[in-house]
Amino acid sequence: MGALRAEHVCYSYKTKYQTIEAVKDISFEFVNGKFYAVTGESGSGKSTFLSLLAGLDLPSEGKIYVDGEDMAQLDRDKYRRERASVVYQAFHLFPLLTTLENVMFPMELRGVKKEEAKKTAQMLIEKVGLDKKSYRQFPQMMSGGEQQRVAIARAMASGGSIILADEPTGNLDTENERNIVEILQSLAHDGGYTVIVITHNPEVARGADVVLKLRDGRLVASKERESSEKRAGYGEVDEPC
Amino acid sequence: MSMFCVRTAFRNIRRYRYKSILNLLICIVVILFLDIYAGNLLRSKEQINGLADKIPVEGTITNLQGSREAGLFIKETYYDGVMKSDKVEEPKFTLQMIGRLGEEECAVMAVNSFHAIAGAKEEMIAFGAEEKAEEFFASNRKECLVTPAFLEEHGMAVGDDLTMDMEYYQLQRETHVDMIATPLEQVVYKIAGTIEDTFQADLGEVSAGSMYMIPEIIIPMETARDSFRAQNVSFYVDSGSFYVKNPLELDALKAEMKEVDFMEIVPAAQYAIEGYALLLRDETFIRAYGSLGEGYQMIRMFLPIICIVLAGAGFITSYLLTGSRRQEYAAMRSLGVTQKGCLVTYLIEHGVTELAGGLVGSAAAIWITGLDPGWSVVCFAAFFLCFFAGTFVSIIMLGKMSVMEVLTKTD
Repeated sequence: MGALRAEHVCYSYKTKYQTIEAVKDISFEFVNGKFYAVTGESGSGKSTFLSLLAGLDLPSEGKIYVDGEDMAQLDRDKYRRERASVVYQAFHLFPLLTTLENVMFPMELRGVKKEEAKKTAQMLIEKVGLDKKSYRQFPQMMSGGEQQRVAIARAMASGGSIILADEPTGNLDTENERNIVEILQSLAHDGGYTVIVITHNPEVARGADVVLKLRDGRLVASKERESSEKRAGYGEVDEPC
Repeated sequence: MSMFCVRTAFRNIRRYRYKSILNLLICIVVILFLDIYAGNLLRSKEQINGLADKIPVEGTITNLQGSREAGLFIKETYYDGVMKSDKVEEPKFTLQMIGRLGEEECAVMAVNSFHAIAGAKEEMIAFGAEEKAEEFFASNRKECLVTPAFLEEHGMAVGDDLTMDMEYYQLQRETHVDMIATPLEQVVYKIAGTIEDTFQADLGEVSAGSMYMIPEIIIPMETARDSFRAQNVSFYVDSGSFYVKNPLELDALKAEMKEVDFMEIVPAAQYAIEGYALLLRDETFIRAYGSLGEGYQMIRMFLPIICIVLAGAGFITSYLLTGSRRQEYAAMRSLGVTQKGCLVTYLIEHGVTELAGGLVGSAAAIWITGLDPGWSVVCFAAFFLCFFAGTFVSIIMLGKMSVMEVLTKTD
């Protein structure tokens, strides 16, 4: 059974003048230990789909299951506290908290003791490739790549097994982009996380195990990539049918 | 979650120290203005209340025409009506009578209080035994005070008995303007003390041109009333006046006096000596109250506006201070902090700063404006309620957001 399963998920919202159908009848199963890339043009419904997977909103129709449990029946705040974390393009670290405090935040929220939270945070910071000097640094003192690493460490600190990322490399240079993708791959393959990344970037999609393509709110293609394919480089994402 | 909110709120106060200090300063300034306003309001109120002491309102019983205040025929019901009212103070009633000692005619005056004796002061009265003047005049004992001259003239001393044939003035029903001396009863009064006759000069002035006689003998009013009752004669008094206890309740007093049956003065009425009109000397008080009252009402009228301004200040302050923290709020929601948790965190953060600002401001206001601490507490409570209400609305509005919309680029 997959970590996350979407079944005929639709999402629409009303503006003053019209009803917009942002997501149309998406069904898909995300399993543990895989790195998914969701691609598509602007306005294709990628971010809306991610917000539904993150439990920030509920589908208008259809269901999302988390480890077999209907998301609509779950405490969605608790779901984000304990099972899924979101990483954003603009990092969204707390500007007046140090790196260490930012990473400790989700653990403090869960009631983890301060000393234990501190130790875990230090370990996670090192795991994403930052050194001890960064512990006391504030976000504005760090580069974009470093901030995104902290954001990933914070996502890991929630203790869940699902990491959702919205354009995590959008603000980064090529080298940092590669590093972040490697970290996300490692989380999926070595850590057993379900990593779902929204991206425009073909280089990021090339690093994914499975690529989904959305168009006008519909899932129009999904393809599991072979290991050799990934190693060889990534071309166009083929439509399966 | 609640401890987490408290810890986060206090950490935010420390970390956003410039914003916290700004909020604190705004609160100090706001409460200072509020306390200055309250001080003005209270001073106006105190001035109005002080008017009663500075400009006492006197009520005097007159004839219907308003031309005569003494030597009247004032029925017992009017006397009782005034005496029983809790809206008057220092009621002063007199009754002139005649006491015959053989062939000699003495002026006897019944009074309900030594204040009723023109020019009299308590120290002018010397009792044989230890006694208070007010208690003596409120009693109905068969006792009297006499002048030292009277004692000397009659070779008597304090403690002696004084036997007199009492007479009262009876109203001539046909004319309504004449009173004739009529025998009442023979009484024996014990001389309880003396009253200095230095006041006779004052009383002489008061009674000049009237039928008043300088009283050589003074008895309590109730003692006189007992004599009237014993002889089944209608009791009356011949002059009456009082002060209004609280001039701010003039209307209530007027209503009460109307129930007693007092009438307003009718200058065109026929001259009579029956006293059933009430003259209230309230013009000066009303004029002074008018200008002060208008000022007070004007200041008070601003009270609801000030409450709205306070709430508005709270709203704007919080709105501006949290405006740049929408993403932080959304990030907290994204990490799983509940909507309630986020609101509580922000409300504690602002509430604590406002509370501290209010307290410091109140202390400063007491020091600067000399406002009564009790009122300062009231102002502080009003400030906090209104200001925090504004903050509350602002934070609630902050929370009304699409987390994903704030944290992501729109698709």
